[in-house]
Amino acid sequence: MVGSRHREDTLVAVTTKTFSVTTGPVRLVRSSLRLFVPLGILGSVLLAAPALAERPEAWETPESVGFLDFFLLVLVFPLVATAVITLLTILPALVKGEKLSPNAAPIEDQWLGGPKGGKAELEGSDAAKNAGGASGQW
Amino acid sequence: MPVAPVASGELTSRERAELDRVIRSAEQISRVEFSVFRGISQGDPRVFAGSLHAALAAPDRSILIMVDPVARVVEVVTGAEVRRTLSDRTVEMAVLAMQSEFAQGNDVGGITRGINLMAEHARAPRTMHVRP
Repeated sequence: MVGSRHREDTLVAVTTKTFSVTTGPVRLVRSSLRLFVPLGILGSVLLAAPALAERPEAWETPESVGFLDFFLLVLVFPLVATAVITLLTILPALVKGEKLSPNAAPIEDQWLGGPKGGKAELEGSDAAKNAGGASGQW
Repeated sequence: MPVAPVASGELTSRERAELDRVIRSAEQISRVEFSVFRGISQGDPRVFAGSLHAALAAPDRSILIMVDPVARVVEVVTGAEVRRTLSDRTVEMAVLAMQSEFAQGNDVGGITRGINLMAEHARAPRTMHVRP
């Protein structure tokens, strides 16, 4: 019984030692990597200096842009270009006489050879007797 | 999938002038009054066309053509006197001819064709009798 107890004690000790050897350093390295890699990236980004280069001497010194030029370039020219493009877009529809407003009636009533009062004279006008004709759709 | 042509707004002054000329010519040929309404019909298109026809100066001697390009409807109403020479069957044929032009987006061409066809048939037959 004493011998068997001794073997059990030895076996337990060996097993514990083996486990600590295989997991301890690896876990330490992984923990270190998790900490230092993001810190390194963040630090390099924060500490990075902007790239600077001297302007070549052969280049001319640019003239300072006045307020009027800046105003023309940034505001007036784009607005004029927008107006021209819009006009070119809606011009064909205007020439054809189409309605551009979404709330407007699609077409205006036109009556050739009708009464002078137009549709206002329809009040109380019943269909003529013995009228004929035909209907169609397309 | 073919896309149907869309109604192209109001008639231009040039198109109106052309239709006026066609109407005058048709009236001279047939001795019948022609009237063309192009617009949005209200309610039942047939009833609306009938009320337009009734509002004309001489409905019995008149032909009214109503074209609604939005609803894609064409109605022709003929007066009692007109029907003596222009049968409803002939009007149907004219409407068919107009429909085919309208389907191609040619509103003025369709109206012109319909007026010409009906004017040709509405013309009173020539009599061979010679008055003393």
